Amino acid sequence: MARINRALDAGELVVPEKSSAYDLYRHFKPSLSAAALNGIKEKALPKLNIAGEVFLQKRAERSSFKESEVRQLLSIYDWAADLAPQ
Amino acid sequence: MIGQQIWPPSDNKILSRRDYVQGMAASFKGDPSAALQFLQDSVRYDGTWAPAYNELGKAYVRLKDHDHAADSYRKAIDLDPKWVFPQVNLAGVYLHDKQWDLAEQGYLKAIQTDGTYATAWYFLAQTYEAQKRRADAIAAYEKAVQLAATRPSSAFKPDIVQRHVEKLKSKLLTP
Repeated sequence: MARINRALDAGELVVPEKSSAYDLYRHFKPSLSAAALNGIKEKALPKLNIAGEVFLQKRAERSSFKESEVRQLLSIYDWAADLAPQ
Repeated sequence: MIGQQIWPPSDNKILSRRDYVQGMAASFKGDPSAALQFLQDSVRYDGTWAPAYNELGKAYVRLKDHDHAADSYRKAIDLDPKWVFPQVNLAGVYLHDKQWDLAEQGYLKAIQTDGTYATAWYFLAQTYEAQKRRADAIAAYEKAVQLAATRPSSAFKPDIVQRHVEKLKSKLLTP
């Protein structure tokens, strides 16, 4: 939980690989308590949403994306969808 | 233009964005059918977001379904009338289908929206050239090349277009 929080604070949401908040979240998720999951959700979801919108705004301003950007966006919204209540 | 309301997002908005991105990823992988499905889901989750309709239009174009592509681009334009890309994309459908008048109107509308978008001038020139309106085509190509100097377009290479313009000019002078 502390490592995920540190990565979130550092803005390392979905990169770098293996030590990003998202990768750590996926790794530790099975062992996280409901309260910890809720804490991560409250902290991560606004950051993910802003990061996603910034990327998507770029898409609106120029006609194409790099593949690496699409990969990052995929991780951002996969995680956001995982955290959002269904 | 994109996210008028950043926070809090609705769950449907998040799911719409996720499927939009998955649609783009599927397009990158060369799977237009999967892209279409994701993008249809994206607009189902959030039917108020122009980029998803614009991307959906592109997916239909890849599948050669131009009627649905045009419908999707029109929807994107309705949702965001100041966004030039779906306007150029819609005109592109008309250009491909040789509907010259509609293509010309579409590109002129796009130029009205953003007169610095070189791509719109380039395809307007192509529309003119297809109709043998060489003087109009030359003027539009030259504008495209001039604009591309400060805002490059992925649609054309300025040096190649410039050489083409010279050829068109020589044809104009030939009786």
